[in-house]
Amino acid sequence: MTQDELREKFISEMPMYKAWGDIVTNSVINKLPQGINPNIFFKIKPEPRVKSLNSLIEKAFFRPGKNYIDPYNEITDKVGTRFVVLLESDIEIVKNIINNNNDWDVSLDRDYEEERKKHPLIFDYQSVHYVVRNKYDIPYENGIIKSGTPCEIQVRTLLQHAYAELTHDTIYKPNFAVPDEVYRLSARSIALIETTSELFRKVKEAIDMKYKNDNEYLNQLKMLYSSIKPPDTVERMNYFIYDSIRSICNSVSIDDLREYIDEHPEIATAINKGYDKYLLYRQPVVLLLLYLAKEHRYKLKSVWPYTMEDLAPLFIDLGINPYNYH
Amino acid sequence: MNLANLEIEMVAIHQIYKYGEYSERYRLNNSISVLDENSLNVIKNRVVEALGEDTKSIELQIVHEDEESTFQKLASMIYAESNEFLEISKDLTIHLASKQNNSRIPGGIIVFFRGTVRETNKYIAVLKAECQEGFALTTAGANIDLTYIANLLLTRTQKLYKVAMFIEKNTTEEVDTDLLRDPNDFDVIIYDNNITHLDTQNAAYYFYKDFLGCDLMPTTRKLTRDFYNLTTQFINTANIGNEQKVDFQNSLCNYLKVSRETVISVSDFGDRYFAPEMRDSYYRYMAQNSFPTHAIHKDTSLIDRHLRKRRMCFDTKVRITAPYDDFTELVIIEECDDPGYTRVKIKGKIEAQ
Repeated sequence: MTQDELREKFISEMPMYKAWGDIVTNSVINKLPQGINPNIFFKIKPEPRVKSLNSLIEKAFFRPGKNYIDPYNEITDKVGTRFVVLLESDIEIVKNIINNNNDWDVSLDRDYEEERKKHPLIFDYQSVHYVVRNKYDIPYENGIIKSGTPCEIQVRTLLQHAYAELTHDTIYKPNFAVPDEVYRLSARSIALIETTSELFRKVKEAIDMKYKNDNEYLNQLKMLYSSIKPPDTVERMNYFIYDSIRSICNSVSIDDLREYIDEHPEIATAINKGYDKYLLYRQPVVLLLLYLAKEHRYKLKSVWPYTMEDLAPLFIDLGINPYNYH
Repeated sequence: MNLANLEIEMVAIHQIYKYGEYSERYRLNNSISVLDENSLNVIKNRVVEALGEDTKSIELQIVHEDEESTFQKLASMIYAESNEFLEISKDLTIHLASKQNNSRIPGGIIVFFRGTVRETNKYIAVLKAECQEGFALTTAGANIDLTYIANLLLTRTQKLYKVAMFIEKNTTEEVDTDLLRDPNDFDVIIYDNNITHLDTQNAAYYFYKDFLGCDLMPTTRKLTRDFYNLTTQFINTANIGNEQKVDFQNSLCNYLKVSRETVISVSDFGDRYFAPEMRDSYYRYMAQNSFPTHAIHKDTSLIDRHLRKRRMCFDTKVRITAPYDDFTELVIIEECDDPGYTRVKIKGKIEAQ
């Protein structure tokens, strides 16, 4: 294949590669387990990129050490997409999604865990690289994505990504005269990243342990709230309020609360009426606030972290004067 | 009173002038008032802040119930068409103006409104609000301006409004609007700052007696006694030191005997004397014993003998308590040469400490 032929073919197939990259990216995002918000989970917005024509020609014809017989088909990163996550355990989630997709064939081209096992003494660039190919033709707006079209997927942690950004275009390119000191410093960086990764994991485990009970309680609270209205939870606010009032509602179990709400229909009515107007009314924790306003209102006022004006509508809806006399 | 889920459905507003200020006594509106959500919320807030739980509102009994009484007219407004609602409200405004027959009574607006509480109980309410001075804040670019307002209404200042509400007790029975209503079918509750003080009590008559045709509940003697007994029990069983118990008991006596307020309430007493962590349990204790959450007109005639304790405090934190009436006989202050000391002679022997 001549340069001209390659150019012509690639220009004509660019829209197809773009479409394939989009499909691969979206199908990973859409298969995240329930409860994981992709905007938070992915630390960099995943966006597929089609290789530039010049870069393809350079790789096919001018890159030392790459003696392709059929460069167009052997080069598998004509389109690529990248998922950058926070923790190594997050990488496992993405790997699972990729491996369990029946619409494509998967080959794992690079896996840092395997490399660590194989070369325990070497600290080198770490990333997971897959190439996935669609098993069947897929129609898209400009035609058909032919079966077997490759797309490269990279999966990395933020730390690995930082390292890759720092070095990838320089020290791993052949014939680039790298001073020994740079190799040494890079290896030290990777070692540090691996250590930091492990510390991150421990921090995460410690936090999870601490919040496990809270999370269980708050999830049950959310379910209880759903029996009245769909919750529109702002997690940070919901948790902050819960954390502020927990000392005065420790003994209230979800079952107690459910019973209390059944016995006091004004609580559900208040939520239905205030739902559209107040953000606070859309938080599951409002159930506890309404209970406390009825049963422990003085303590509630003393621990309430915002202004009285924010709390007053709850009191008014329950028919209670929100303000002290003195 | 339980005013949970208060809703306002129809509103009529008129104005009453101060006696002698103008030749007219009132100014009547010719249409029902349609208020936006924020305005309705302000009225709702003021009503709950004055009549809901933890307020100094008191219950009234209906005295005048004949066809021409304010009660019958108000009650008929609950089921009236809007034009009829407006006409009756005008009629009652004229009636109120005729009772405001001296220039010490300020003018203001009078608001009639009806709706529901607890989703099912219908009510009719009448609110009179006086004007207040104030400012409106306006900002344009970097400039902050205050605009003077002479007739600001219904701020949280409770001295400046009074409100009464007639709430139907029964929610299921069909009401025959051709017949006169039975006063026993209603709870009547009022907030009027004037009622709550001995010094201004008379200034409240024109509204709740002359205009509304109501009177204070006759059960207040018994309720005042219950208040004293239950609060005493609460103090005695509370998890606090003996000295504090004595202090609280003294406070209770002062509250009932010395205060110039004519009403008592659980939340008022709790707010004044208990720390926040004690207030909730006090409030619950009283509620469990079925004591009302609104205020009670104070009548100590059944407990006068309990209130006969007198306390003497010294600047060194020494305190002496003795029966009020025999105090001078039991505790005798004698002359003392040392200026830093007081010589006290107490009748009796030390029994406990």
